[in-house]
Amino acid sequence: MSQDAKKNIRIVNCCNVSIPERGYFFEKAQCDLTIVNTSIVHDIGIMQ
Amino acid sequence: MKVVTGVVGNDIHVVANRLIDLSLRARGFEVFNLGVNTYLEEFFDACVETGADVLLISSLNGEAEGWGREVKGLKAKYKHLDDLIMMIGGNLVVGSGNAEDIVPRYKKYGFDLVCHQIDLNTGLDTLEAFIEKRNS
Amino acid sequence: MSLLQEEREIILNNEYVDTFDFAEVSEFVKNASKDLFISHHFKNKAKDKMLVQPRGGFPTYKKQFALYEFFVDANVDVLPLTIDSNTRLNDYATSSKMLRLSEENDVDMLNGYPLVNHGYRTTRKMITHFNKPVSLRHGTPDARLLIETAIASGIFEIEGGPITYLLPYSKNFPLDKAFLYWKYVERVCANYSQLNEPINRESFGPLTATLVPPCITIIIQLLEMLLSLEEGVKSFSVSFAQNGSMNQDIVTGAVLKKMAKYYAEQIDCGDAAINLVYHQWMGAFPTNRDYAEQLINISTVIAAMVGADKIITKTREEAVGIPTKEANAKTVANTQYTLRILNGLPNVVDEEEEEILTLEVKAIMEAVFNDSADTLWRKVFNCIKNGIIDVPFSPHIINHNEMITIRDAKKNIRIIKRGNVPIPDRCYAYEKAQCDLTKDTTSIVNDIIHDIGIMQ
Repeated sequence: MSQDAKKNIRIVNCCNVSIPERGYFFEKAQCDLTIVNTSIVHDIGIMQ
Repeated sequence: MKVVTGVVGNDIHVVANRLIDLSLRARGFEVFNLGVNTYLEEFFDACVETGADVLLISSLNGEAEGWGREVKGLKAKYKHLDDLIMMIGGNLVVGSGNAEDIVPRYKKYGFDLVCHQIDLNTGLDTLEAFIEKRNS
Repeated sequence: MSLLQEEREIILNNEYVDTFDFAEVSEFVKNASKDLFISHHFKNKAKDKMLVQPRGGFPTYKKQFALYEFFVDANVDVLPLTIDSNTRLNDYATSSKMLRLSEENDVDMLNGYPLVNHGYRTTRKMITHFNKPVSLRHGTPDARLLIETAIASGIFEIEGGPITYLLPYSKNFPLDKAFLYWKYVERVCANYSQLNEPINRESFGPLTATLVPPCITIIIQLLEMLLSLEEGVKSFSVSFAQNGSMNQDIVTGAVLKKMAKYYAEQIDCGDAAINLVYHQWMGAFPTNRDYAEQLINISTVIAAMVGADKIITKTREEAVGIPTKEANAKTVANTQYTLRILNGLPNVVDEEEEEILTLEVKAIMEAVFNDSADTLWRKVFNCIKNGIIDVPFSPHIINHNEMITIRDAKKNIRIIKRGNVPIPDRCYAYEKAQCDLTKDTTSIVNDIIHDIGIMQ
């Protein structure tokens, strides 16, 4: 999971959770997927 | 009944002044509002000019204390002001003081009605009662 | 030599000015760092990042410098320079004496920085040292000498205007003179704007900060903007203050932005940059410092909802007196934090309210343009004189004071008596329909007293 530009929480990897295909595409489309690995740490500490 | 009103001296507290104006009109008075930053001489000039029955001076920053003792002398220089009802209200001292000391002091300065930190409508009720009593 | 240049030489040939070097000042503005120009920051900031500007001015150079150090540590975007009240009244002799007393005794004898007495050579050292945009906050009807000194010092944002710096502050300074003195200011700002980035002019939207209805705020913002743009200013900020209802603020911001763009285009000045500035609550503050902080925080949230380009902050000590530099810096840090965590704001649009407000603004603007005078400033002057423009609770003798406003159940400011202001009948009926008008005047006066103290 990660946050998009408006800080909404988005699913970037659904693993075994049964997210419908259309929903999963929408979620991923809101995010810049090239920076996910580095931004998750930041997103957890968003209010600090 | 004609009333001259305004805020005395170097005082720009306009909000109370507008509300006094509004309330007096609502009670049927004819109001001549001189606004803020008004000098004592201007008040008396306006009373003569309009033939006012009441002079209602307000002061919020407490500076009224400074010129209070000049009121009687200045008023004596004008003719035809003997029947003028003199009222002062607002915050009449700098810092804190109690009404028991303040009211007699301002009465000595020549005011018929003195309202220190009294709310607007109570003050105006007092004025109306005073007028009624005098006319009866 | 142009008439303007002749006037400038008279203004600057003053016993309180230590030889004004026109050529050197022009050269300085031309080569000044872009970072000093707020217009440059407005243009290049990240889209949603609101600039944060506190208030503050101290008499001595040393204390002002220390204040700026605190602000920079708190991550300030725009530094303020607030001018003392003697300078605002052009009484440079008194400000000079009080400055000396403040320097010798370590007690502040002035409520701001006496810029003319310090002079541009000294002040420029401080401004260029911090290399941040500085906004001049004053309240001066005749600001000609002050503005010349400010720009020469590297202060490239000038607040104020002939209406907004007069009607809330003065009882009898002549309004027509104020228009002419500000015309000079606009021209000087416009001329310097050609040398580097534009000098930004900002109007003072809060006015009396007491039950001013949005339509009056907006038309005065638009008129000061037009008076400025028609002299050649290329960057202008319209502003307003939190008015007590979140919805009404959002509507005010939306209409103000649309109308500013519309009227700028009407006079072929669509190329000018127009920015929106929001003032945190300008009315009576709670004395409880913790409550004051909550109020400030809410103001920041609303500013974000409004989409302001800059926010001007208050402090937790607002109700107590002139705030310390610590309190001032704390507000900057807190506001920056709130802005940082405010994300995913919903987009709120109230079409009905926007329509009503737009109709009101257009009707009043039309009445101003239809005045028979030949120039815009004279039209505006006449309209203030005859009450087409009426500012609630202005102490100025020229103001009509016929308009009466109160708050409805949702704390929106509504017009219940329009006086001479040409509010269209449909809008007037709508405004009144929001309020309980069955009350007598005495209870309405009590409501007004309550409405003024709403945040306490």
